[in-house]
Amino acid sequence: MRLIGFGVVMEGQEQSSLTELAAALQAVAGAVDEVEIWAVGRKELLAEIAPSCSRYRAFVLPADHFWFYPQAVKMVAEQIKAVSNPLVVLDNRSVSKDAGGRLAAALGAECILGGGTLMLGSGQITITKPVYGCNLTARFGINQLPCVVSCGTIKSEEELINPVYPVAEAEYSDLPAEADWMIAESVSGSGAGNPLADAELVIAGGKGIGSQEGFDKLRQMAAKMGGALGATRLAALSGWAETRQIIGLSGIQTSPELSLLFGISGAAPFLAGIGGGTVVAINKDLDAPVFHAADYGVVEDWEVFAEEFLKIWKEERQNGS
Amino acid sequence: MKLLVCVKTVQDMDGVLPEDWNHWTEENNLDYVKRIYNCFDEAALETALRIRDEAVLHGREVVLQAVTIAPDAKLMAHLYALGFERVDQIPIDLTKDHSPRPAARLLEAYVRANGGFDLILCGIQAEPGNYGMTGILLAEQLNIPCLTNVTEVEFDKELTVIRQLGDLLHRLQVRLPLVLTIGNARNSYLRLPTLREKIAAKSKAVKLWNPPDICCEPGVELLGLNRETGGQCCQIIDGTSAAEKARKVYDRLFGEEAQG
Repeated sequence: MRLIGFGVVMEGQEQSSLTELAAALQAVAGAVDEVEIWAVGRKELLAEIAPSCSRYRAFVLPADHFWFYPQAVKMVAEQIKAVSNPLVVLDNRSVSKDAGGRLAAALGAECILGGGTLMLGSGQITITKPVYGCNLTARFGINQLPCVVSCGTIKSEEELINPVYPVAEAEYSDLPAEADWMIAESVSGSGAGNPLADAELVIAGGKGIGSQEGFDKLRQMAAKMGGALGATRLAALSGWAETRQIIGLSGIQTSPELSLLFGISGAAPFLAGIGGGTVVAINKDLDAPVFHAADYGVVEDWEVFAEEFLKIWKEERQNGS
Repeated sequence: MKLLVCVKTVQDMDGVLPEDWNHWTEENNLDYVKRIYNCFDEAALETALRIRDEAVLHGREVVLQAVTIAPDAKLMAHLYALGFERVDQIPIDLTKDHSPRPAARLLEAYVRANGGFDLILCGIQAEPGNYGMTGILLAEQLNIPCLTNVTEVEFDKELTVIRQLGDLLHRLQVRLPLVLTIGNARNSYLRLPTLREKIAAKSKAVKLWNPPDICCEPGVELLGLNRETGGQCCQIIDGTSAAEKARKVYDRLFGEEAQG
């Protein structure tokens, strides 16, 4: 079996995610025949990636193209078909899931997107995935290759002796321009990456915040404490936060050291986006499910608590502690 | 323009009793839980109505059609009152099917039997699996482009699609036919019909569409479903005031005990 780590590198996306994926695949390389990295993007961005693997294939988008287009997907899929028993692995960023899904469809391959742990070994390849609103975890066995998966963690069942790969030289291939279904395109945005992706402190609000003004207070609190502001889907769709600030199943996956969750009931699809770290939940309802997922719970009006907490935080900072 | 919305109704996961999750077995029956539109499909329905509204302003006609794959389509009947010309039900239960392939095959057969559509809208993902693949597979099978993560659609002389790609907004002016999968759309809630619209559409019923046999060999196998709990044991912070509770939380997070 050949493991292909796959990624799309765009402006504003972290090239480092592909290097991280390569390192994760390297750690299980003993369980497979080869580990390759395939990436799609602009040449200057692709050149910045330095993956340790047996082969690095870099697919270069035409100069006026911003995205992994259907024509490009078809070409890359044809190249994957030429590989013996490929398992294509992507991370769980939305750009990756988009690329993985379309690649699988073009390959006619099975696909599990949004997976948890991919388990390799001498037995069956398995992958976990949250299902039923993240209330249950499914475990799937992969019986057929090629297959495309996006996942958070890659492990091996056995102790492995892994080959040590050097940094691979990029092998560049030009992708074709897109067909005429597209008249014009442009991209906009900060291009600086989503601050929630690697924030150490996440301050998030839910429907319980109740208003735009409330969210503005949380935004100020996050700015003062050096954290990133997140929101539940319901709060964002109420117009109080941007959709890029949605945490969870339909948004971004975070892994902060500390999460302060205000006015959030704690639906499983939201909590699926809070990975690790200490979680403090502030909610007026003691029965709110968010308390089952928190380390510390405060039954209190979120606004009063936030003001008091910020006041103490400022005092302590001024006192140098 | 012929516009199809593929709609899935799902059980409201918030309505499931915690005991059912904690003691989950394959035999668990969630039929007691009310059915709602999958949230992204609801956004797709509203997006379709907004495209129609804009088209009318520009003197163009949009014929709206909706289809669902479900044993029960009662929820869909009110789409007539919102202006859908036709609402069909493919009476198959895929609730426990952990693959998006059968749904995509059924929808492909439906689209072909209806002579094709200029624009097909689907929600980006749906319970129970949230695979995010049905729209992509459908487009591939129909050999037309698919744009995912769509947040907004504008319809003037041409169709303009806005998608969220990570941190970027991707804006495309496109030609049809096309499949769009709707993500965190700006207008995610389906409007309500007026009483007058409801009365006018009262006699219209969801029509049954019987599909051909579809066979999809799964390449992945469901080995099991289980409840993974974080094992979190929440410590409720007591206090006589918010200030006292805030101090206690601060000390636990940043105080000497936490540092030590």
